[in-house]
Amino acid sequence: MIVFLSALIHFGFAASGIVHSGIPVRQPDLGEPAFQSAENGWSAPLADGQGLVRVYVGRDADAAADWFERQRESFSRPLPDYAFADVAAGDGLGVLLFRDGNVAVMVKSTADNALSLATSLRERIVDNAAPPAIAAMRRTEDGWTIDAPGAVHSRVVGGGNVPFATAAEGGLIGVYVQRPTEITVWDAFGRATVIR
Amino acid sequence: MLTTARPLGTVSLIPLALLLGCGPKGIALGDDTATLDPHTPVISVSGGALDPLLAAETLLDVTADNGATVRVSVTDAAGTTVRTLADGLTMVDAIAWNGRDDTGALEPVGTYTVHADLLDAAGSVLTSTTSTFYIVRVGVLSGTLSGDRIPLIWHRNGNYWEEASTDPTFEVAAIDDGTTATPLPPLWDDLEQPPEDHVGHTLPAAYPYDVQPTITLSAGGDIGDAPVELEIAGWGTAQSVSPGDAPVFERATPLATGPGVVEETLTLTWSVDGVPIGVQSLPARFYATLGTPTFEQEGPPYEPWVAAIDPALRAIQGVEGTDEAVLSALTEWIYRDLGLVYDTRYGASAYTQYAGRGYDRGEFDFTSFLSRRNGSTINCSDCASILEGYSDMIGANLEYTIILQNFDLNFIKSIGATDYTHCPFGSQGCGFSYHAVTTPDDATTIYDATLALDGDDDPGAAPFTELLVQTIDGQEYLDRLVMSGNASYMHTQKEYLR
Repeated sequence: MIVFLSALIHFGFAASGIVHSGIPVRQPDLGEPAFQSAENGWSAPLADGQGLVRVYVGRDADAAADWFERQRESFSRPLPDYAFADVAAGDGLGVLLFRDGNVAVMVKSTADNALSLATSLRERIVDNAAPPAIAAMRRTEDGWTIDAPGAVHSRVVGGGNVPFATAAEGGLIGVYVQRPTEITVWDAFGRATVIR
Repeated sequence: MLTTARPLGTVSLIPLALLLGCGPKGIALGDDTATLDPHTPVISVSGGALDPLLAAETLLDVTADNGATVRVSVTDAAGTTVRTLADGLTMVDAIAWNGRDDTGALEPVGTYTVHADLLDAAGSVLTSTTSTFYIVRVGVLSGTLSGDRIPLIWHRNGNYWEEASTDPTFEVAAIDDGTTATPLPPLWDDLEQPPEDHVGHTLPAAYPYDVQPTITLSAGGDIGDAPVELEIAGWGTAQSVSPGDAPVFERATPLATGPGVVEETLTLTWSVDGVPIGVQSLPARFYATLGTPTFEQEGPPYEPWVAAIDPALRAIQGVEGTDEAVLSALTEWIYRDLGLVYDTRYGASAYTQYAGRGYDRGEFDFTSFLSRRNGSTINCSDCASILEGYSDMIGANLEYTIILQNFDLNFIKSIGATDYTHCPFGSQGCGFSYHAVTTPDDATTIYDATLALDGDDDPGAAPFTELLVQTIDGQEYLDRLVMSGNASYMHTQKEYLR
């Protein structure tokens, strides 16, 4: 039984701008993705160890533009504008920050190939994928069971003593002795859904 | 069987050490023979109890005089002789018994009687004595540290496993396997991965450093009618214990005199009538924090992470138990010892992002930082997050605050640098668009692990006197940091952990 499902951050209903499905979180030239939050997306080190990418998939272009500006202002040295995608900043060498519709990306490279990496990542933007993963919480005899078909990662706040709930085949992500207070799940394209 | 010899004719009652390695004590049941009539035949025997799985054997103290030979035997509660330990010995001082009968079978838990006879040359009994002997099986099934215990978190890949403060610290499936006593479990040493369950491991525990922890044990075994006591050295006095009991022991002294890691072995000594019969060792690791976590939020992940506080507390071991001392020590540790380098090219963060505009809701990816997943080149937001993350977990309150905006710098030595400069970005810039620092009191006092200031009278010119940013007045910090431009503190708040 689905007990509740609320505060869903939904994708695909952007008010304006291009709405992409996202960028696949697993890439051969990227390391293991780390999922930050619904507000800050996911990140991954470059597989060669020479940099980092951050990717944000917003519900619309405005959300991505907000992320873009937040990223930009977190540089202690101001980033100059750069001509790339819808909007970009950086030098194209060590750093390139860009937005394409509702997808925004920050590339940092010590190999000075930020532009080529950004170009490659932009080409990997996916459109028209299936709807994002949604988590459901059920009360069971053992406690609270979280199901999230299609999720590749989850973060559960609260819930009690269950070692490391992780995405598993079939979407079962864990059984919790207490009712979680917040669940965030990410799908294969980096779209985050939160239920509270 | 072990015997030690002394010629007949001498008289003594010497308590013998049990073969336990726990001190020379014995039970003397006979009379003191110092005033004996030299012609009166005398025999005495002493020895009290054995846990055959904790000690291989125990010594019965037998003294005899004015006779020819000695006979020592053991009967069970039904009066049946189960073991003859000596018969015809002419010299004896101590006789070992391993709790087994004459066929080698282990006798069950119960009360036994040791009979000692002194015989003349013709084999007639001159005198006899007896002593009560207990065979017991003792052990601990679980232990739970309590008393202001702070729940710990094991984290991995952004997920968290939080122990409950009532969770057992260790468990064993059984106190023995029938032939061997189960040793108390070893420490769980993995700082990131928690065990699947509590059996077979002893988890570390966190407490404020000035707390006296308590531990509740769950006693198992079978002791029959034996008056068994259990004592933990340094954790109060011995307590009578029967299987099923849950004795509580309190550490006699506070955990430490300041924050750090306390590693010790708890020595559990079992005894009968005050005589040790066995010792068990429990390895323990205590994370002695300054206090409870100071995060704004509660519950995972806003509790001490084992992987974070373990190295941090070891690094600041020995500091005074004050906020100022802890924060200063953490600042220096991060600035000097973590191998971090300021991003002098862009001033880009590697582990911190802001979830709101205007540097609002800083999110620190502590999980990735601990593995240096994104490298060791960081910026001020990272340093503020790192310092706040460690300090809040240890119990010293900090918030991050942002210095805005676009100001030129006096001379600084950024983290990982060897020289002072007022242009950390070289030809690309001699100022910061913003700078994140930490404060416990709304920017009245500043801690900053990103850089060292020039601490002399002229922070805008050589020579340079290294001044780490530890407990520095907020206005003095700005005066030393900023060469020109408006700079003020804004957006002071707590960070979010990921």
